Amino acid sequence: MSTHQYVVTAHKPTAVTSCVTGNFTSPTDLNLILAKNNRLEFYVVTPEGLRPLKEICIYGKVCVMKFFRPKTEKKDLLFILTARYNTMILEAIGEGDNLEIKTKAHGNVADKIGKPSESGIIAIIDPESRAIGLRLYDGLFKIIPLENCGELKATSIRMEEIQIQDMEFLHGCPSPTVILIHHDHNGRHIKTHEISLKDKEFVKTPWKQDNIDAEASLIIPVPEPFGGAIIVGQETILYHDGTNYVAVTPPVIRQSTMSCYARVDSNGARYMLGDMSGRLFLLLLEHEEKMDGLQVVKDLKVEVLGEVSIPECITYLDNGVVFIGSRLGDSQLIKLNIKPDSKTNSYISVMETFTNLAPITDMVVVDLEKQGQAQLVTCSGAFKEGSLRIIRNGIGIQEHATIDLQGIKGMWPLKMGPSKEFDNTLVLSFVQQTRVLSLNGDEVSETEIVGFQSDCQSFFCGNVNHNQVLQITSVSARLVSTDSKQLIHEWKPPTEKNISVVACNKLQVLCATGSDLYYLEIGDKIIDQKAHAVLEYEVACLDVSLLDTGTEKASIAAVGLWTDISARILKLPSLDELNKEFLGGEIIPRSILVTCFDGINYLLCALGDGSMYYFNLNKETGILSEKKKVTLGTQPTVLRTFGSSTNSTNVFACSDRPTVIYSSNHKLVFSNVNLKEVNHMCSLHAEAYPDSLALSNDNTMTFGTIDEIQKLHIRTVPLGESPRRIAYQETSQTFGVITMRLDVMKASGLQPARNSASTLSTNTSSSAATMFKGAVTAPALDIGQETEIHNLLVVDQHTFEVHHCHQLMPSEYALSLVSARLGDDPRTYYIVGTALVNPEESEPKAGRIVVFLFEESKLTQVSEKEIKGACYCLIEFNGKLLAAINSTVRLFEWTTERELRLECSHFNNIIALFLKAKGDFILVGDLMRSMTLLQYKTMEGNFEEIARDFHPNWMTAVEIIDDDTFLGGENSYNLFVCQKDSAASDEDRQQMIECGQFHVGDMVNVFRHGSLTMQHVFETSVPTQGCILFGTVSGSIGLVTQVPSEFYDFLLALQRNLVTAIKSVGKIEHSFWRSFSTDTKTEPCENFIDGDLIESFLDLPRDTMQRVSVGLQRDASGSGTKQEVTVDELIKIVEDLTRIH
Amino acid sequence: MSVTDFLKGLPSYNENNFTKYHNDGGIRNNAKRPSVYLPTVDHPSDQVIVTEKTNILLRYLHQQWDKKSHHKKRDHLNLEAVDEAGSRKRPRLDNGSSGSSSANPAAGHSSNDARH
Repeated sequence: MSTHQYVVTAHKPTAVTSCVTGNFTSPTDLNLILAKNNRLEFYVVTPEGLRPLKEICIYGKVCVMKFFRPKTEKKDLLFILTARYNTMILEAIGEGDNLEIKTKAHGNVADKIGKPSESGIIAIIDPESRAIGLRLYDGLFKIIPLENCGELKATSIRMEEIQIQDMEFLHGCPSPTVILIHHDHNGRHIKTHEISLKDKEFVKTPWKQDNIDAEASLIIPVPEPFGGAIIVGQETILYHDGTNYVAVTPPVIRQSTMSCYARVDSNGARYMLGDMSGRLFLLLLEHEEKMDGLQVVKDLKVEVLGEVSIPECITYLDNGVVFIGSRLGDSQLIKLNIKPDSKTNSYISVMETFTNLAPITDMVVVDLEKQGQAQLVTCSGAFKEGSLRIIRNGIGIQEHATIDLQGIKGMWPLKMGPSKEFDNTLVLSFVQQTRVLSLNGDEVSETEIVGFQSDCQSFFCGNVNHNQVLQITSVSARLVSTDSKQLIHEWKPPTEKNISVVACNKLQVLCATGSDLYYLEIGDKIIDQKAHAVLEYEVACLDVSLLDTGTEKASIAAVGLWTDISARILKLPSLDELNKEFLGGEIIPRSILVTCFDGINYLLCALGDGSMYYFNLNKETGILSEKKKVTLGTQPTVLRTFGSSTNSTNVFACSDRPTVIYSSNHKLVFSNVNLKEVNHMCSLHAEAYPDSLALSNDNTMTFGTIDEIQKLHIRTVPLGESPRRIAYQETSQTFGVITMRLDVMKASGLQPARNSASTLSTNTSSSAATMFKGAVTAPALDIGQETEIHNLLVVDQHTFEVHHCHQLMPSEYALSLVSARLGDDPRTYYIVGTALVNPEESEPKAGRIVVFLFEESKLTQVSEKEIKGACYCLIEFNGKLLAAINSTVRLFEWTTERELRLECSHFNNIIALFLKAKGDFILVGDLMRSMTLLQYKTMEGNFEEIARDFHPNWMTAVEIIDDDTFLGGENSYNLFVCQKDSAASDEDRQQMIECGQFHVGDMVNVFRHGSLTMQHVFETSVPTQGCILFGTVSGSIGLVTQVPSEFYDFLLALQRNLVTAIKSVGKIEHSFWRSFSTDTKTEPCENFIDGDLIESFLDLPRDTMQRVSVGLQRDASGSGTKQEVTVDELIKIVEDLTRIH
Repeated sequence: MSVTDFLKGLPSYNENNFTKYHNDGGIRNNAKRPSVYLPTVDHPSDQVIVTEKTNILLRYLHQQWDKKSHHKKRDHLNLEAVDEAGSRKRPRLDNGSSGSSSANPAAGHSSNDARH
């Protein structure tokens, strides 16, 4: 039982909340900056597209990000305001690798009192950079005059207008002047205020306009020569400059609400507007010149350009390319075309998408392939961007062609004839046979190379120098001309012994016959034997790979031996032994490889049991250091190098659990491949299959390409509607998904707003309103009004096709879903909890629990139960069904008549939102009363309230860590851990002890036990226990694991050293960032380790690592004496920590 | 005018930007993440942003008080006008107190300015 937690981000946030374009890194660089929760991504625009520069972690959730340029500056400065009211002004200094981000100014602008505005934080900057304006609290406007020196003093000004929708600074005003939309009981109005920076006061109201569009929400300040502002409403778009105004009411804008804009021209003539349905508009100010030469706006034109991801922010880059930042779907890089697409009539073409998981509303952890490798399926996105995302650790292979071929023992690509660039031949080796395939376009046909010996197994084939190919069989090495395909020269071992193991590069050959090793070199039409050595034992594996790409000749070779189980480094050409390393154990080495990753030389040696040792290799001395072991599979493993598109080295480990080995930040990463088994592989660069791999297992050969190497592989299944809940059902091999779509009332009745998963399903059914006795009539809708339609989708676990869609009643909202087996009934059911929503009621008074059976591709309703409220959560509980219904927790039995019968209830909640169970214990998460632990008393058949956390936490998710420890996420982006004290007296026991708290900086929607990595693959130096994954609103996936207290103390010391070593951009203290903070209190982080900070250790330069490691002590052996930890040990510990996710 | 006309002459800061962009006909997925920036060198901030801790009502009253005493001093120098200054204060005090309740210090302030 541990109360110390290690929390780390496994997948960084992906929702783009803000994007800006400007000249940041130099006066001529055009930069795009994206804000993703607490991370900033810097890009530079190049002829090739967006080039990533840097990613920066800010110790705060970014709320507002804006560029500005004071008159004295040649490039833009970046202003940032965080959710906890930290401000900063950042400047880029230096270029390229020396790029540094300097915090020019920083400070916290929070007030002790003040009501945070419901319409959110507004921060605006005067176009002439005289001041920054902030609206943080109702009725107050905070002004920061931007002076060049001295402290920047933020002063509050009282503002009569309380409910402010939007606010901006106007252009071309002698003193900074703001324009705002405010709301009162008469409607919405616009007003301007001129600010005196000297007196910190509003001095006058230059102009105002009452009673504008009732839903006006967006102000676009217009630069000179026009000045004034555009006010965007639900129906009207208004231009006003104080004296003149123009208003238009284009019908096309009415369908949705404009949410963001981007200025296109610096003179303010054109703008792009984005609405909540994902449409992009162009707004044009038509102007005329007055007699006095004044430019005035004459008319406004609004045109639809096309559809994009539902935008949160838009920014114009260059030459018609625009970035669309999205919170609800994938962000996009788009191009505006002068000519519309002939089919879609859209002026937009999407160039690039940026994967976004946000918002993650629910998720499940499942091991679909039963390989011990779990994957995560999330409900991601909303509205038309809704999707399921399948996230797995590893690498994906895209299969392009498959051929049925049994018993392949080896594969090699060849360039025959005139082909210089592409491989056109593939040699396959079988027992006592070698076959040659010719690749012609995507045609594959069998051919022959006359110089090859085809009646025996090949150990190696490949192109070598002087337009020759080499085939090595058990009998001989044969040199064949690529042009004539005739045998040129043949080398046979001087003894009669058969060749058993070989290794080759373009120039050098190693052949072993038992313990005899021959070193050969390839010349023009000749194979030259250069050296011979007799090793102590028989050779098990060999390698003569080149370490430097610039050289042609390897200076060392690696050998693995039978009997003494050793790896040896031999000098070439002499075959003198430089070094030997005993691997230990009794399993013989089966594959050995020298390779270079990221400039570091490694020796990899795979054994017959699927494990692999790896070492750092000094290629001059042959000395091996930093021995590490990893388990890749359970069968003999074959190691092969292959190039990827990025030209970095990758190694493919063929086994029953194929793995790609590569280097990231100078550490080796082992990534699973989404294939069941690979016996042999080779890289293949054929005309029809460029940059591909050929892979074989017992029965087939596959040509495929490897995905861009990344740790988490994400596959998207678009739904086109909002997914809300997901459950996995193993018996039917399906996922149940609750979705919501919007239907629009038309003259002919309700119509789906657009096609989506539920409307495209071929098998459908629906709950007719008559089935429900306590009938709630659907509200009468006006034409054009939208309504939510809720569905249960049954989705195939392999193809992700929708097998069936069941539509619920009108105004019935599906809130919960579980796949469960109940009582003695052998069937597994999908059970949906719903609420009948009546807009007049403060909380739902009726709902249903509906039991469905999915069998033989058909979904049938088995049973339904009326309930008196909304069913927020359903879980299986010891063969019964546990439901959270409004303020109650209720347990239902499954009768032999296949009906739900209420057994007992618990009432002490405001709204019970979340349930988790372990054994007889039930953890309840309440809307606003934190967590409660219940115990089900089997004998009495009732619930007993065991313990409760009395803090007023508004819960967003709960999870049981172990019998006594509970994890909660609450709505101010904090995590906390509570413990029940079993030993305490009855009275004390009722109170849970809060024993850990942490600010995660993101809203956690769901916790699930499970891990994305293979369990027990590594010999690990870190004693972590358990693993809980969480999904957040901004699309990040995090992990919470438990650490014992000694290790916690060690990590805390490391964290302390890192806080000193790593400077915070924006100068927000790390302790402030991680402190538990709500509207009512802020308390220091406790019993949580910030894994993100710990893992950044690996990205530090070596000398800083050294500094950080000073004074760190650990009792690694458990002897009770602590010892100083070396840098290398520390790297190993942190590397092992990164491998838990 | 058509959309095509509206879209003509989109701004170009560097005409080469995006000219060599290739996505082979399909939509590219951006999987490249920038490398993480970990500053280990501390650049001292040029400026610190501080927020005024004084309550806005107190600040307003202080401001009024300062103005009042400022005037007093000036009026003391102008010895012969002491009494008159005292009588002139009164309406301004009224003005000030009503200003604080209606939160429109600007009015009182600008009238002061006008008198200088």
